Formats: sequence, structure tokens, C-alpha cells
Amino acid sequence: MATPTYDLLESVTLATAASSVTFSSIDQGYGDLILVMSGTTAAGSTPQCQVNSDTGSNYSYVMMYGNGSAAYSSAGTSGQFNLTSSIRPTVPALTQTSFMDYTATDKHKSILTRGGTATVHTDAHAVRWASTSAIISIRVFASQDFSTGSTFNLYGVAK
Amino acid sequence: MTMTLVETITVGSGGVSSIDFTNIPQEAGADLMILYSGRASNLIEKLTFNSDTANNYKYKMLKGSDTAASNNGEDAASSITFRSSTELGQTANTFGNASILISNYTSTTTKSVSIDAVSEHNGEVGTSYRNIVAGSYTTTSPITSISWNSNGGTTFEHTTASLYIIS
Repeated sequence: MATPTYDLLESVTLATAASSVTFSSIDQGYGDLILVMSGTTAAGSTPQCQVNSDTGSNYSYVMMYGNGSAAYSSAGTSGQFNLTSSIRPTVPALTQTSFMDYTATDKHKSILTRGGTATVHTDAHAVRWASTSAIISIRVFASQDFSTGSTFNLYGVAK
Repeated sequence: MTMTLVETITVGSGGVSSIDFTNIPQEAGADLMILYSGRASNLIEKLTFNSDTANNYKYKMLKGSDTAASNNGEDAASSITFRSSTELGQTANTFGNASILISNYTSTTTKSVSIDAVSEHNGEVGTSYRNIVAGSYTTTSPITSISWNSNGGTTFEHTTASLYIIS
């Protein structure tokens, strides 16, 4: 029988609206992490992310974006990174974010995310977290509460 | 284990008019993932669910070619469009590919779709596109079948598509 390689570490489905979701004490026994978020907010907002409670300007990014009528790209450094550029009511945003080699202590971490909302946009971001610390926690947050029923699933991918 | 292979389709000699996954097992709260490697008669692929070709799909596609980034989308489409194949006549043994994620596919609300794909032809003008898509299927029906075709054309031999349930 094949060895399992893609394990659900934690699943959160919001029973009430919430402004953030945190995965803590993340299992260090995998090669990569994948975070899948599907959700809405009561009003337009941007779902963002920090790791290890790091709020410093340690997240460098380059991104591309298309909304059906225009495409653009940008780059910069910030105290967090975006899972996707916006999240809205009604049509759920869907994002998939890979945290590569998250337990490594000899390199900065690469994070790749793609997502969007079918009525608004699609985008992709490449992020460098400028730290050699292993990732032990992930916090997802937004300025507007995530709606009831929004889901956040964290998977570990075997080495 | 939470990523379970449901079915792998390998296209044989002569090709097929569509890739079809039917009678998909229903697992509440789970996601679907499709990993695809293909050659077809067109670069453009059309994805539908439950044999539904009404205007129940929305999508935004962002694509990059050899020279520029561009994008398009529809808010009342009969399918979700993406580009993941290598056309007939292009370099032998070269295949496009795609990763398709469908969130909470048994839901009775709108289902979201995220696609990461490339139509590969050695980076040549007009035939190589890297593209990402945000899509949705705006019905209350759980997804029980998935189909896509090469814009009405043929999907060729050695194309493979694997469907997984992620739970």
C-alpha cells in the first residue's frame, strides 16, 4: 500500500464570524505545508497572513493580478503577505498557499500562493519570509470578519 | 491519508472528445483536485460540471505569454476556460499541464475553482501560455461529474488526468 503523503493537520470551519484563524504548534514532520482557504467576508477585504507571529517587514513579494479588463504586477516588502488581493461577500474566494521547506533553519522560506474570486479577480504571489526560523504557526486575518462557514484547511506534504 | 486517488484517465490511440469523471463519490466538506497532462487540438480547454452547459459559470483568467500579460473573464459563461494543452503539430513529446482545485464540491452553495496551468510549446509565440484562473460554479447542486474538452476538438493519446479527493 502506498505511503500517505498529504495529511490534513488541522481543519477550521467557522461557526461564527471571526477576524482571524491561527494554526499553532504545527507538526514539524513534513516537507511542505499547504493552506487552502475558502470563504467570504461581509464587505470587501484582503485576506493576509503572518507566520510565527512575525509582524516585522520581513515579507518580500512579487505578484500578478488580472480582473478581466486589466492585468498588472507589483513587488514590495511588508509586515504580512496577501493570500489573495481581495475577498468579498457571496462568491467565495479560494486560495491555495504552499510553504516550502518550512522546517528548514538554514534558509529563508519561499511561499507561493494563488487565488481569487470568480466575479472579481485572479492573482498569484511569490513571497520570501526573511527568517531562518522554522515555521511553527500561521495566522490568517482580514480587516473584515470572515463569514460563518468559511473554511481553512492546513495540510502537511511528506518529505 | 487525506488525498485519495479516485480515478486516472489515460487517453488511448485515436484520442477522445472529452475527459470525463462521472459518479464522483460524495464526501461532505472535502475538496477535489485534478492533475492533468495533455496534448489536444486546441490550446483552450472548457471545464463543466454535472453536464451543465447553461450560463452558470464565472471566471477570471490571467495569462502570460512570451511577450505580455493579459487577462479576460466572464460572469455568465457556459464553462470555465483555461489553457493547459499542447497543440497537435507542436514539438513531439511536449505536454501542457494543469492543477485544478475545487473547494467543498458537495456544497449546496456556489463552488469555487482555482486553476494553475500551462500550455507548453518551448515558450514559442502564440502557443505557450502560463495561466491562473479563479472560477465558480453558481448552482446549488453538488458536483457529481466533471468534464472538459479541447474547445470542441480532440484530446490526444498519452494525455492523463487524475482525480483526487482531499479530505
